[in-house]
Amino acid sequence: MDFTTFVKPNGNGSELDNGAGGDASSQELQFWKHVAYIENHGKQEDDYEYCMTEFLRMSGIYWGVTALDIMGQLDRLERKYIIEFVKRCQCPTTGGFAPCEGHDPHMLYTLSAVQILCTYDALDEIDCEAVVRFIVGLQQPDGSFFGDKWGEVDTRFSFCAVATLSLLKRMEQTIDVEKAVKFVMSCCNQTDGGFGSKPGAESHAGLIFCCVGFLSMTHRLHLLDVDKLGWWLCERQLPSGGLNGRPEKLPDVCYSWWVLSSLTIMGRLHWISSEKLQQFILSCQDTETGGFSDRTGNMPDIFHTHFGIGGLSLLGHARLKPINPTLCMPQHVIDRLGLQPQILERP
Amino acid sequence: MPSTTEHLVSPKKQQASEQQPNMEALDINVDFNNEKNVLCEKIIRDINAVFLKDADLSSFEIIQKETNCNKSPVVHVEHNLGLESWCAQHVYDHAHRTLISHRRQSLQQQMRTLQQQQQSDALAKYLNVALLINPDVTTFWHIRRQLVQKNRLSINKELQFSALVLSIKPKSNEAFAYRRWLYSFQSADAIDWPNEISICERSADRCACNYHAWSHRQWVLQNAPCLLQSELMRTEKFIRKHISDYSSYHYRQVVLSRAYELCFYMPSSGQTDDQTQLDDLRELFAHYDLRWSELSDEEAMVQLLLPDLNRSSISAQRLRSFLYCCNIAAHDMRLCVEQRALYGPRDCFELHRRASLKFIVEQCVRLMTGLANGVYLPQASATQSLEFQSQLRKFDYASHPFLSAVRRVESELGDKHQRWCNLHLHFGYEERRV
Repeated sequence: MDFTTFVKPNGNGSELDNGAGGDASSQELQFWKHVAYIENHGKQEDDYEYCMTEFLRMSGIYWGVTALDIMGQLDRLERKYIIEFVKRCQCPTTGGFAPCEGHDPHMLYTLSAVQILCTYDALDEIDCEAVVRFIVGLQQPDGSFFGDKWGEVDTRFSFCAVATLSLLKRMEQTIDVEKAVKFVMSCCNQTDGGFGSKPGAESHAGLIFCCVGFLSMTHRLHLLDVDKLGWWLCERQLPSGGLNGRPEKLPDVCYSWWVLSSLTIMGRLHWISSEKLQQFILSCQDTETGGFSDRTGNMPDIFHTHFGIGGLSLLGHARLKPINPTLCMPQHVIDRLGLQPQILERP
Repeated sequence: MPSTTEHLVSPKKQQASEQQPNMEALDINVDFNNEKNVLCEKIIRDINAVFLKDADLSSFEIIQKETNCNKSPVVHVEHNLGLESWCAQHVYDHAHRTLISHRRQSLQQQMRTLQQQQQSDALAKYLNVALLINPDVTTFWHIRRQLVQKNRLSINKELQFSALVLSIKPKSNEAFAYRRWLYSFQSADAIDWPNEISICERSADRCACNYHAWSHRQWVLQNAPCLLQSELMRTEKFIRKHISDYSSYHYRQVVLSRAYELCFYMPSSGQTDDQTQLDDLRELFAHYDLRWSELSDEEAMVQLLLPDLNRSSISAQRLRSFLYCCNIAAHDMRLCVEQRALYGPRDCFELHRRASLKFIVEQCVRLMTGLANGVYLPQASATQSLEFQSQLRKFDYASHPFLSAVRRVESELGDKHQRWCNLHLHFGYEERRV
């Protein structure tokens, strides 16, 4: 990822950092260091990482843009350049978005592109009808969605489809919502109430987020077995306070988002220890360079930085703006769009 | 540091050199004046030579070596291909640029490249290298799909290439998805399914909780139900060896559900009769303090598990499969207890024991309440599973000799287990306030 080109000149906020080091500071949010981390991401033009991650650039921009907006620092990036980049990635034939020029359009990057444009209130810059056609064209007779024309099916793509259409306010009268719901519910495992990528596939916190988010957008949360699924999600919290994504796996900051947002949508955030989770997320900050890593002591990256900030926002961190648990975007953007994804009340 | 958007989105330099010798028969401008490019071209050519020479290439790896020692960084030993790490990033960068330049040409020009053998061969050469180093790039797999569609790449060779990618990245969903796509051109009976299972197993063996490998294996099982019996054996071996790989336990649960759904059982082999075949179920009865003597034959077992069952509504095959599958679940319950005694408590042992217990209890209730038709799989429709849940809630465990024993003995496993039983099986234990 390269954000250097999006950063406005003089955009250097690190002078405001208190600069304290050592153990105590690691438990405080290194706010300005994270801002600087995102700004400087991929600064070396010939950075090998930059080249290796080109295939998901659009999502990378969404992660950075969202995290910065949650921190109230979106104006550090050059809106105009980002929107130009996004526009260049729309495929003139299919209407879908590629992660970067020269790559193929895909459901995943189409959602990221629309999320970025919504955050910037710039949907009028692209051909939204073409996006709708792209998504409608990928729905299958069984209600599932292909990720692109080559035919891979996954519940992630069901999420992407309804999220994109919701943001465009075109979910009604475009796709077959009933069938889409039926397919997602066919991926629910009766053994634990969780969801996998396909019917029968193992329950996985990331895919549970996709399916719960899908049901939230389609207002079908009553189909969830909240007690069983909630049990499984709570078991993801480990003694370190961190959450894993499946049984017997290591904790990972990105699951703090996926598990936490699912529990939030289900009105069951209080079923895990927020305090311990917050401690775990903060322990994954890189106190020198800024940014979050998957686990304490590892190298930070933009993906975990986004989900670390998002998780802290859901936990109500005072320095962060609220984030919407279903769409993983700043709540003020969702409010501006007038969207109300379903959320269950705390019992 | 450049401060325009150009390097973010399009490396301009690759388009700079217009008049270069078309050495590689690909209508893409590669700057051969640049020493680094020449070196990369040579390395890519060396790798390609290995591909051409060795039709049985089975693994690829990046060999950690930080400096260029002035000899070829391409190592080829006994069907194994290696590339020294110092050059990997340069080679990738070069192949990536070349491929993206191809993609940024006009559609007609791209089609021309795909259609001409010489040019598509050149393209494949860059694709091989790029995907071995970075298997996550969906677009590069798509170019291979286009080449397959134009008959420029053969399906068998492509199956081999994707297996090679799995040798370096056993978790590559792109590689598994590509294999499924390739198989869509072949008829199911022409496919070597056992080999596909081996590829899944190798990938799962090398990478714990390998989600994509186990999902792919489910797809294989779906297409080749004849593998049920061997899968039941192989998965037991796997979970005994990889005690904390829950993905493998989950897959075993799926295999069992599928076996039951398809009315599968192993015909008894004559002299042993049912006596040894259903031993695990007998032991489970003993564990639940149920008397041995009454359970000498299959009939008595059915009587205990499904008392007063209306036999006319259920086929003999269904009943045999029921006993056979419950026996496997009972076997797994005991296995989990034994493993726990050996290795100490682990989530996998607890979760898999519960899933097995749930299987037995639910299948009994299903058959008793006449809800069995079409609801064997855990993935029943939302309405079906809701209906079943309400049956489970209403079910009178006390009147059922086997299930009431289960409920009595399972209660000894602690508060949390009781809560789980209440939630999943509606055992109705009194919950203690915490």
